[in-house]
Amino acid sequence: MKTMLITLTLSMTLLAAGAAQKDADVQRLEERRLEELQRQKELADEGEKAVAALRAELAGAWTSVIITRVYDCSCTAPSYSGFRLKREGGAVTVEPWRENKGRAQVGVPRPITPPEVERLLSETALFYLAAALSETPREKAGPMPSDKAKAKEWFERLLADGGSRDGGDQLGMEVRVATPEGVKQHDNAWALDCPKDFSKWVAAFGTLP
Amino acid sequence: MTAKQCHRALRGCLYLGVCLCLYLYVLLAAGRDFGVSEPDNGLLSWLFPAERDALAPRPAHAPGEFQPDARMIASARRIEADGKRRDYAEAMDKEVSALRADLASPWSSLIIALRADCSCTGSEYRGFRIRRAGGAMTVAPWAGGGFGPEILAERTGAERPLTQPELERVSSEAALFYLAASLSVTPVEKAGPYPQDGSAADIMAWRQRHLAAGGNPEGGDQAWIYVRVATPAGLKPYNNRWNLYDFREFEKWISSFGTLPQS
Repeated sequence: MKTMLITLTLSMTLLAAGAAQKDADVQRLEERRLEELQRQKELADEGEKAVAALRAELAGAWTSVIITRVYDCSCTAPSYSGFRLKREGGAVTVEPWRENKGRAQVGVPRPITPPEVERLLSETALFYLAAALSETPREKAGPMPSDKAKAKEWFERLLADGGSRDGGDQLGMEVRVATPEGVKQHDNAWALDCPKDFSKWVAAFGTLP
Repeated sequence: MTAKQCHRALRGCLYLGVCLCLYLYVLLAAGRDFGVSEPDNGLLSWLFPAERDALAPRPAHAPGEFQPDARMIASARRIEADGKRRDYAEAMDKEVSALRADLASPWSSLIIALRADCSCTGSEYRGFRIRRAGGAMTVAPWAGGGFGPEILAERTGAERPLTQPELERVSSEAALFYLAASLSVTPVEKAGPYPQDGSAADIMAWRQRHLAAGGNPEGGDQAWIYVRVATPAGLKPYNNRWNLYDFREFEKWISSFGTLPQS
């Protein structure tokens, strides 16, 4: 009888331990899932705010807007290629624009109608939305932790997502809105290879040699 | 030892054996549910060597051959992920340019909508329709319902004329929203294709990836961008899924063309 009681108690303890382990594993996984969902929600909120801020500035009294594709090479300084809209009086012109090693070049300006300007600015905001929704491996990994062991884990995650340990080349989108108060800059990196759609679009206003 | 004592000892061993079996069963259930077992889980590995081998990283070398270090393995993984990303980007570029080509073709009607898939009520479509008859164009709010991609009931609101520059702008914006939806990667897309004929270990690994990417194990609600172009060659539908929180700008945009009361 005594042996039976001992074995029963022992078995109950073992069963409880097994069930507790199962619960802990499921809970750990669920916590990880909810954390990831929260992170995605925060990213979407940030993206929405960034697009709304850009839309507000593009609807404001700007004097010039530069929209470019940024190629950030790890060897040389970032280079920019795109176009510039200029507003003088009631007239707006568009011209190809480029900047390399701090030196800007512009092409021949041509006049552009108000509906064309509206369409261009709407397209700019939508390309910016697309860039904001695309998550680069570095954005996905989040800020690098200061703890050594956690930093190692962070690097492993970054590499597994296709990120580079040394930074590497990056492609992005940049919008510079010049107002009488100053220039406001909006940047966003493309996660995937820069969409051909965007490269074609920024080159549609002519390119410089 | 007397016969009675011997009998007691044997009975004790039997109880202990039964309890141990129960414990093993619970451990295995814990390991198999939700695919949380790690490849180096000692007990599971010992009892299920096939699953262990499938989960464990496969050595890329025979004994005695060159063995890559952790840095090299990480670098190889990075290159592989980079390649996958490039393939995905190319596929996405092709899809967006196919949509742009269809939008520039002589279509007779065009529907752009937000498709919401609810696990309880099926699919609901909300958006607008543009119709072209002769040289004139009209736009009207549009809604539909159904299950999956099949639309069973369609409703439209009051039509208003649309100019050619307006149409060009709407078409371009639709293509850009489609591009944004392509870049909004869902947990299912992050986890990769589901292993239809895969082993238990493959399915376990997929479920782990899906959950870690924020996926809902029960499926849950989904939102899509839906574009349907009616061309002389037939209907061409385009669908792309938004990640859970990414479609708010698109929802605002389609509502700007008017909305219909909920049926």
